[in-house]
Amino acid sequence: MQDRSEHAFLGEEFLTWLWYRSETGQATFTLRDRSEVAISLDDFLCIGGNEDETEQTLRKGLPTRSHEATAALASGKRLVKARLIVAEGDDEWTLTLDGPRFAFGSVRRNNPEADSESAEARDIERIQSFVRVGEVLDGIYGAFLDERLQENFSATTLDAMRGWVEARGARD
Amino acid sequence: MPPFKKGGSFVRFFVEGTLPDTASEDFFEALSKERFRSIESAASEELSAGWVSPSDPSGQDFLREDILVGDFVRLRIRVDKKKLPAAWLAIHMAAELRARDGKKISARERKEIRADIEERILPRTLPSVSFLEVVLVPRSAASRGALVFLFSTSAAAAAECAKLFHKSFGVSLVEVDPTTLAERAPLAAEKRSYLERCSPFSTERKREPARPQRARAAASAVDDDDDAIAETHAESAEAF
Repeated sequence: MQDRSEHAFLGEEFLTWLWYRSETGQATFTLRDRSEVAISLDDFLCIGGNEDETEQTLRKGLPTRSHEATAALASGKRLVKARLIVAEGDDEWTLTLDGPRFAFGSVRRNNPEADSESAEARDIERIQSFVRVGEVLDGIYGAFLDERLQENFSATTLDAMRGWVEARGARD
Repeated sequence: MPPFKKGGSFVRFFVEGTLPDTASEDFFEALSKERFRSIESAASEELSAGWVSPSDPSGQDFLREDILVGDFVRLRIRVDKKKLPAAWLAIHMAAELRARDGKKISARERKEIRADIEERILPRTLPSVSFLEVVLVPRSAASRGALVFLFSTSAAAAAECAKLFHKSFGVSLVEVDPTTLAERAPLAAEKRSYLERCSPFSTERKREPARPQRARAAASAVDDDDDAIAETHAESAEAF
């Protein structure tokens, strides 16, 4: 097992923030290169938070809607890994992001491949797709950092996130 | 040449240091110098890791057309591990002990027997072979420098890849993670300073702890006493 880096928790916070944004209709982002991207959570969640805490894995069906997920959020746990759907224009990818390591698991581009003129053109397109999905996630993480590192983050975004968790609890 | 994979898992690394121009002779010489070397006939347990090209798993040829793919550099690391299979070791060890008529042997003798078995068996044992796909992006827009994609999320693979880049090109690989991304993000000074101080958040809403019943009763009695004192004072005031 690799040592967690100093601010590995920011990766878990990032995923938890994405979850909040996707359930409150704020999951579209304009990146620095002016491209518009959207993100949503799919059918795999791993919830934990602190290094020694037990992790809980929820998969299949609608894990983001489950009582277990709400209870975990209400007890202060964060999202450690999640299967994400990332969309940019006509392109769409699914991948499992490991928050603390920022490792991309089982990345799949959902679009049918264009008919390439040559094997080299096909390989270039595939590599570009991996590079782009990395850039997109880096860009959204940059937007998260911008918000997270404001002095009033607790009074604004975090308070809204706690309200979201409470609303989920009331709904359950 | 085998096609590049359609999907998969990866981690990325920032490159610290200067890589030779990927189209230069120096780059190809560095690859060739750290090419994969076979341990097929080795007589000891060992590991060998080195560069191979996507179309030649032996590590003999590094053809430009295999490696330079558009703006990217497509590389492969071959990792061979030779290990004596535990079951074969147990079989040969049991045979050695039987040949000694069950006579008890010391730890030193056992070690010598094991070394002897290894010497006989390992040259006939084939190593396990694995390949790690690597893509070098010489000028990544996001990192404003070179970026390495390693198509594996194993920590051991990451260490092997970093070691090989250092040996071949004298550069260091720094894994892209929440910390290194934050360190390189274009943040304003006050945000950078806050980054140093920030600690993990929790979505749990902390509530005022409920007071135990006895404490509530005592507090209520005090409140009643306060009311009684206030009433007495009021009565006294009226009397004057």
